[in-house]
Amino acid sequence: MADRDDVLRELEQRLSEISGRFWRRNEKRVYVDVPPENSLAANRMLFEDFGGRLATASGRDTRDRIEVLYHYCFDALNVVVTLRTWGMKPNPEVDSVAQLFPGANFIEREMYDLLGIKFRDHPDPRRLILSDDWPEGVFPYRRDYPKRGGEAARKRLVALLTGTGSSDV
Amino acid sequence: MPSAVWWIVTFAAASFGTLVLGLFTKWVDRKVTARVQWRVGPPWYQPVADIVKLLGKETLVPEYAGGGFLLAPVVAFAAACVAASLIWAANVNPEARFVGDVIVVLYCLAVPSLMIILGGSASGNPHAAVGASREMKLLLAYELPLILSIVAVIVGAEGKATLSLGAIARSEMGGVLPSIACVVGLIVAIFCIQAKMGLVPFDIAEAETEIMSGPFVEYSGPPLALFYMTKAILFAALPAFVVTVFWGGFGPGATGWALGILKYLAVVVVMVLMRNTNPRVRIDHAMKFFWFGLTPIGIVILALAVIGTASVAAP
Amino acid sequence: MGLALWGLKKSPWVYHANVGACNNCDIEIVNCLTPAFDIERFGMVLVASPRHADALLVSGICTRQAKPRLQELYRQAAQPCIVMCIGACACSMGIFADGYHAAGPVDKVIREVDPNAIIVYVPGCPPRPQAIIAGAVKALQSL
Repeated sequence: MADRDDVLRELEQRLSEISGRFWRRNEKRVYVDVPPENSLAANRMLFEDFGGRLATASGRDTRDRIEVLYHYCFDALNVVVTLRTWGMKPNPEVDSVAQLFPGANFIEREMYDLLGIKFRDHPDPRRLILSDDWPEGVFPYRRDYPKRGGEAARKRLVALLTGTGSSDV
Repeated sequence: MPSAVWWIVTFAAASFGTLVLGLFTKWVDRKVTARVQWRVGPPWYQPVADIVKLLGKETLVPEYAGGGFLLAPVVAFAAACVAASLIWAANVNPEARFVGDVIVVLYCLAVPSLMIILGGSASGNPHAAVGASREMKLLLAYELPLILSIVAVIVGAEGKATLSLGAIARSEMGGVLPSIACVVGLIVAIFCIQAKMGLVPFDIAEAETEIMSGPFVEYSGPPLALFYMTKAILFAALPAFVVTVFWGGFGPGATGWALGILKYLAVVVVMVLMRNTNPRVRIDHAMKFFWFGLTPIGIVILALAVIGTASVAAP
Repeated sequence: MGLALWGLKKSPWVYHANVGACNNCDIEIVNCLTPAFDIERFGMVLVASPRHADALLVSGICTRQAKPRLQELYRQAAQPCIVMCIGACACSMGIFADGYHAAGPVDKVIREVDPNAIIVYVPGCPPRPQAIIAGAVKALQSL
């Protein structure tokens, strides 16, 4: 059984040509930034050469780009490596890994549906969970999606929690 | 041959009586099922309450329903009533018979299944169509061994072939220990009527968890009440039919009737216990069981009856 | 009519519909059928088709996708049919009221179809089977 530090050192070295920052946060967590043009190659390397298991993928909306994080578990070594790639707004696009992992098919469809990030070469680029009459181009998980309720709801909640009788809505 | 008035009175009395008996048997079935599952179960008037409630609801007819949708429950109920009245008439008055009334009873007992198929096909719903096709396959499967075993008794009763139910019943009346053909035929027939009733393990057509009540999915209100009452009448008429043909019927005199009721209850108890202890089988398993399991047994007892070595005990 | 009402009270057949719940309320509804609570002694049977139902047990906030389907279900149920909202999400959408997919609590959705619908509320998250049975019995007694 290979030692965890040895494997991570080799991973860092192999990835350094195509990736950016390699941050080992603690014993069990590693974060790697990968520019979008190299993301498919990095995913392939982690899966095929190093034997990582794609546990899930998550999406994040930051101010000027939408990030996609792929979380790989190395069960024998007890470490999770996260690859972070991104697509710049206003039309974020990332290469799809659905050809590599059939399980990522639905994950990427959900990310497209809720965050609006397109996946190139996805075999089935349809929306997944929003209703059929949901308007195009409105992505509820983006930070600029208008929150229902808004200020009035916040005041009501504060009044309820602090027990100050009736709220001034 | 009694008069027409006697027949009409018998038809009305037997239909109503079998309906009441069938509702009671349905309650026994639900209560025993509940007890076997360590539950309390419904009160004795539950099937009556079900029918009263169904009669009070509105009838919804789907837009794509065909012509047979509302006709099917009425014809099924009528056929079940006719079959019930013939069976009880043969038991009450064995002289009231006509040649071939066994065939009429078998035919009338097959009509409710045909009407379920008609109603399911006319519903315009894919679940109902699947249920109707399953009922069709099941019908093809269980009718064969049932008819074979009844033919064995027809051939063997009274030493010569006879086609009237009254004669069959009379020839076995008073007999406590029937012959081999009758015993084996009884067992075969109990499996077949379990399937005809649509009880587990053969409730493939109306599989609630799989195809949403199958052929009955679009029925509501009074048509559904008619189907419910048809099933109740069948639940009482089919064990009575089996007892009449294979086990000596409800004989003359008080002891004969008491014995007959005990035999009827025994058949009902076997059906209910079979229902509570078995899972539902797949349609291809059911067909294999009926065609390759029970049909050879039916052929064997038919051969024995023909040869005469396993004929019905003569009075 | 007295007889029809007696039949309805003594034999209510229920149909369960989940329009956007987390499944906790659904588990509690199915628990009612188990020997510990046994609603069959009241004549309640879980039926597989909305046409056979006298009571629709609805759980979950009504999502946008489920709203026309719930209204269609109510229209397909043969009248008289009551609607029971099981759980806090069905009664009022609870903490999901401001969600992007919430399309109104169940009573608002049903009243769009039938303003005179009889609606029963069983709050709880999830409501215990005892609460569901109490709600059903109260509804039947008040008919």
